[in-house]
Amino acid sequence: MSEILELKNVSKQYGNTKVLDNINFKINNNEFFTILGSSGSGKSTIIRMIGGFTKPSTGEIIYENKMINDEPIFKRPFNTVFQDYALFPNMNVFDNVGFGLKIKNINKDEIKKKVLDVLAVVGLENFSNRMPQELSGGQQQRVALARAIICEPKIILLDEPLGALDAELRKQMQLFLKEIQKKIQITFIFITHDQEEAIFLSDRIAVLNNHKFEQVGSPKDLYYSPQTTYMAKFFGECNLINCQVVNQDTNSIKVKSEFGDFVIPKNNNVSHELEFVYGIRPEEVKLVNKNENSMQVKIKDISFKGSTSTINVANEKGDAFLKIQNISSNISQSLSKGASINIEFNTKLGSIFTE
Amino acid sequence: MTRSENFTKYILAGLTGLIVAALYAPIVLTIFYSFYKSRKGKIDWSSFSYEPYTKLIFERQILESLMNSIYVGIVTVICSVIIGFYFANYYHTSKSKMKELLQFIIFLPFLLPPIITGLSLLIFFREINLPRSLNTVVIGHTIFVLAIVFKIILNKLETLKPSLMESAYDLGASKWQAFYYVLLPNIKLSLIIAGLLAFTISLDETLITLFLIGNDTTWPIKLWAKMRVGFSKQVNASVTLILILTSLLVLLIASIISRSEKKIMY
Repeated sequence: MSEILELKNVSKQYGNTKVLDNINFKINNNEFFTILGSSGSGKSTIIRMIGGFTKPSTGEIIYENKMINDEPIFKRPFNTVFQDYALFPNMNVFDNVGFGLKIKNINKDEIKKKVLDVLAVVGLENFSNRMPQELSGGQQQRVALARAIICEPKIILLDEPLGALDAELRKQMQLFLKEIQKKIQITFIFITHDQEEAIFLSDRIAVLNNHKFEQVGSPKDLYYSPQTTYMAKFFGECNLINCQVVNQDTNSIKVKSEFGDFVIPKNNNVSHELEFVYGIRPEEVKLVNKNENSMQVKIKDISFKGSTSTINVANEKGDAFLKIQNISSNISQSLSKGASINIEFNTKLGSIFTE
Repeated sequence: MTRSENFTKYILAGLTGLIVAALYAPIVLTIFYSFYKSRKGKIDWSSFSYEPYTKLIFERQILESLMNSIYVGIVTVICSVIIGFYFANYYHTSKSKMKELLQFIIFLPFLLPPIITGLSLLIFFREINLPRSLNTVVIGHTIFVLAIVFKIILNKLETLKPSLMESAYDLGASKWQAFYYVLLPNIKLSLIIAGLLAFTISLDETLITLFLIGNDTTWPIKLWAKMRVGFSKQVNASVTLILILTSLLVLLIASIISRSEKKIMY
């Protein structure tokens, strides 16, 4: 896959307020790339800079090996789908979609053919005479997308396009977006604050937190190999345990924790007595019979969720807690509050955070 | 409903009626006396005639002054709408702090007593040796109505989403194309409303005009001059005609506004 766009050390500030701090990423051709962050995290500013609506304070935006910081909006081969759709209220669907071509002085017959083609792609072939006001939110969204697609941009920038839709329609539009991106083979840069949406749609996700990228990677990377404790807790739940290295040999590290000692596989050398946070997802904590690697904990409460149950446990001292998920309810039924059980971590899927 | 509540209701209705009558009676009387004569405070019912209206056509001075007023009105509309749009657009898009000063200056002539505006313009025109004429009146009127035109257009611009123009640029439009295809059609109604209002204000503006007019005369000034030498039926007739004309304009404005509001409501 070839690389199409790169942001290099990009920062943006308004006056003294820092909006983005040293953003770096590369986007591949035909990729569905999502920028995920809470509102006010600066995610819209990133695509407004790519689109040319605002300039970075420092850093470079590079498109096909060329710096485009100062390129005017209309010269950039990108098109934007705005959160509020921004359809022209004085034009019907046909004219809205054909606008980009009309501006380029393309002849009428060709515009007509292309508009009808694109309207068919987004499933609105019978709506060309409607005014934007007469369409539902989802339909307006499709027109906005058609209006971008018809210009044959190299990248389509989508600024929280599903933000204004209700849950049901949102699901439909997600499917629609994913299908259409595969069909038309254009790079999508998508903005959202919705984690599920990001995981469902994206080839890769960049998570924005505190004006910086926490991590960039595929949805699986982000879930299974979080690089920070923020990321560990971002997708799903994660138990974070304070640990200290006791000793290490060629393959494993023995650590001491609030819950007892356990052994984790060794990937890199770690310094002796290093303190770190160990992250383990609730479904990767197993109930076992007492053995040399197991830790004894007390059951605080058990919540029944149908075929499985969730158990919250505390250490012997009662000052540290763990969550255990996906315990078969057959087993949890035989347990009771206050009882002691033995647990083990599936250390193949744990993460070490040394920050 | 209790009796006292009923009573209050009737009193209020009566009062409202009286106020409306007091406000509009002079206008009704003006129209009435353009058709009937009165002698010693008594109305002569047999004196109905269209004569003042037909005579009006032969009153060249009144007609000429009316044509002058319409000329001044139309040129004022063109100038004030173009300048008003330019300033409103600047105010809306600029981030400069000077724009508040700009707004203040635009509003000043409208808020100051017209006598001050008229006098200072007169002094200014003398300083630069610009002879007084209908054109200096146009300049005065434009400066006076600019505040209203500016505000109406600015209000409309502020209802437009910023993404509207951005998406036009995004789709490859130049500034002119974005203006012509997207901005203009969406603010068209506000330009028409602003223009109509500017025309009505210009039509009856007297005080500033008095300072700036040369040998020509505008319609309100002609009427004022005629009143000094006694009432004539033609004055009544021409007031009636203008009343009808401006009422129609106001109705037009109101219907345009209500239509555009329906559009926005969707």
